[in-house]
Amino acid sequence: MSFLKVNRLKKTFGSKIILDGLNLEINEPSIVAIIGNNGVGKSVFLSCLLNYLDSDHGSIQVLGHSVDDHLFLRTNTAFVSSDHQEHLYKITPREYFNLIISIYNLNQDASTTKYEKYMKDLELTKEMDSSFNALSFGTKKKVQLIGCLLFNPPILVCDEIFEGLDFEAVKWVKDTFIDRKRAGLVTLFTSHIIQHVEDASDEIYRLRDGKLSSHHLMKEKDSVYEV
Amino acid sequence: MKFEAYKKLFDIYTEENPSSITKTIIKISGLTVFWLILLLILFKVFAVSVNAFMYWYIGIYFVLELLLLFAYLVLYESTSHIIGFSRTVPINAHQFYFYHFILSSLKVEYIAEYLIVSLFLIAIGTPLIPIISLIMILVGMKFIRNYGEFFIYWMKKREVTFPYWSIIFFCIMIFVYLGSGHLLSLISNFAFTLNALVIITITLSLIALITYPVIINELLRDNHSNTNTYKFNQFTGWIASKFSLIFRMNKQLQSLVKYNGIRLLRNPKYIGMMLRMNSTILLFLTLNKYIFSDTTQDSKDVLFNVLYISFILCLLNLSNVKLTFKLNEKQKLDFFPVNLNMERVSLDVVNGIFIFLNFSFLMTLYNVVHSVPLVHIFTSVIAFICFFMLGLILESTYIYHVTKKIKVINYILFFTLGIALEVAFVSLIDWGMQLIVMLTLMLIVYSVRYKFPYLLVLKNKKNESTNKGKKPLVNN
Repeated sequence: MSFLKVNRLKKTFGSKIILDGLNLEINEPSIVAIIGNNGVGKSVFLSCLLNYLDSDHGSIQVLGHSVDDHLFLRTNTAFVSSDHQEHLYKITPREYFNLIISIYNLNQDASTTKYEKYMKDLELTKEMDSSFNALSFGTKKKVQLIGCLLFNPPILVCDEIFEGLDFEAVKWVKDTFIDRKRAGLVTLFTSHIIQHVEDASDEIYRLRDGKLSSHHLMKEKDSVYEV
Repeated sequence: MKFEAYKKLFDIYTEENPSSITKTIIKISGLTVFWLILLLILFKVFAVSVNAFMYWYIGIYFVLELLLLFAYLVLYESTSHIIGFSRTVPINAHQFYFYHFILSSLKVEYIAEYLIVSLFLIAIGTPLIPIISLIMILVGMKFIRNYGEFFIYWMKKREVTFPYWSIIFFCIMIFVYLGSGHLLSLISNFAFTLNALVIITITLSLIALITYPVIINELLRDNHSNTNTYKFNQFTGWIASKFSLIFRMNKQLQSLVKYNGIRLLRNPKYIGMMLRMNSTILLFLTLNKYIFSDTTQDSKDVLFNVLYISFILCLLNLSNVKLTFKLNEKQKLDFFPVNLNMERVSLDVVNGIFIFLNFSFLMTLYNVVHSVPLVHIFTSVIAFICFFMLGLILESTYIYHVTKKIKVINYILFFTLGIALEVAFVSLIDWGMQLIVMLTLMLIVYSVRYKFPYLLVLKNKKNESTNKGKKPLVNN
């Protein structure tokens, strides 16, 4: 059974074709990066993948289940994206983490220790009781990521995760991705920062003309730098 | 920034095509012919008096200005667009305010219209002072409307952090309602003569002239601020935790109720809306008192009024909170691994608590003024539950996205079924029957909203594309 299987995915906005028969299969614990020029449809693809957006055609399976299975999808995946943070507005990081603990039925004490440690690692302890809206761009992403790591889903999807993060946070995120892989989990992310893609990923795909193609960074380094 | 540059911007945002000189001449010629025919018919055929004409003219202008205000603010949203753009260009508050006033209020057509009307009135022997007063009122109204555009937008901006204006308006309405007897006698003594209207217009224009720099400067500064008060967060968190304890037997529901409660308590738009609902009902009750001169004191009239409170409150909840504010969509509960029925229960409970608090407050206030018999209070509570349930049933026709079709269906059905219920409560059914109706509606809500949540959902392309992940496959 594969972690993720996308088959002939198609998405259009009016006459503009964004995804055109896109295929992707992830069969083993890994860190997968998706690169592509601005506006090529990376975020649209991730939104379709996690069923935040309808696709026009094709199928997506997560751990053998259709993405229409809402409960299964939300239990086994997580999404870190600055475009998907409305559910965190008006609440504090502590309230968000406690909500995750209740909804995913996690152990209260162990999870509290976990999120306190993560917040300390990322030097966010003083923001624990601040409103999410009042946090900076990068801090919002860190908080969202910590919330997702509390229930550590089999598939973690991050859109432009390194954008707006400080140097230490970037390192922390990369280490976290590696830990997840060791734990038998999949992390899929997009990034414009080629150095991070190179450092953090096992596999790189390039999205172009609505399709994903396997990308070999070293061979085509010059063209990748154009991204 | 030069006037011409601002004019181009203004035309873009009001979707107005720039007019050529020939077009303007044709427009003014047409306007002249129209006004001359109209004035001749009014004064020569129908023998309308100058006084009556002036009052009607001012009245129609007043309505038109209100419509323009609505169009600029809500339909075109041109005010917000223009402010948004002006933040990025070198323009000062005075230039911005007067450019906007000149372009929206002192068009050639308007000036031509004032001239035609004035010349005609002079021609039929009207003294000069009333004509000057009329023109002053008309231009003043435009000036105040122009100010109103920015003032309302500024108020909305300030409400982003705290619902100041809703609270102030709400407090004023409580005092007005409680002291309406004295106020009404004061208003009835006031004569709306032309001079009085001129004084009102000048006073409001002066207020506008004095305060506009503060408002415009603040709008141009783009001063975003967020509520991040530790004490406020703690307090709202504590309240939400307390009322979520009712559901402690179901941990997931408890946490969702707490989450919804926290987010709504800290949402100035939502709280402001709740307060404005109360203010609207108090305004209606005051007007009702004024129109019927407090003669509505028999038991049936009191019953009608308390039912009216229940009905309007639930209607405003459906209209403002659910269909316009789109509460179900805004809470984004589909981002969590939660069933649709659980989502709905948690949100309905929290919104229901807020609405019931409003209802209790209004009933208490009404009781203070009118001494409502206990039996009517019971009836109004039952009616309130029935109207609320009716709203929930109608809301089950969509999941998140509200289309125009759904809005129309919801309004029509709520009005017709709601009024039928109200009539039934006033005249047809007794207490036992009222309870049966309430229980039946509760049973229907349980069935169509929670047990089979997709049963009434209207299918259409748009609805499907935004009701992501909530497909019958999961729950049924």
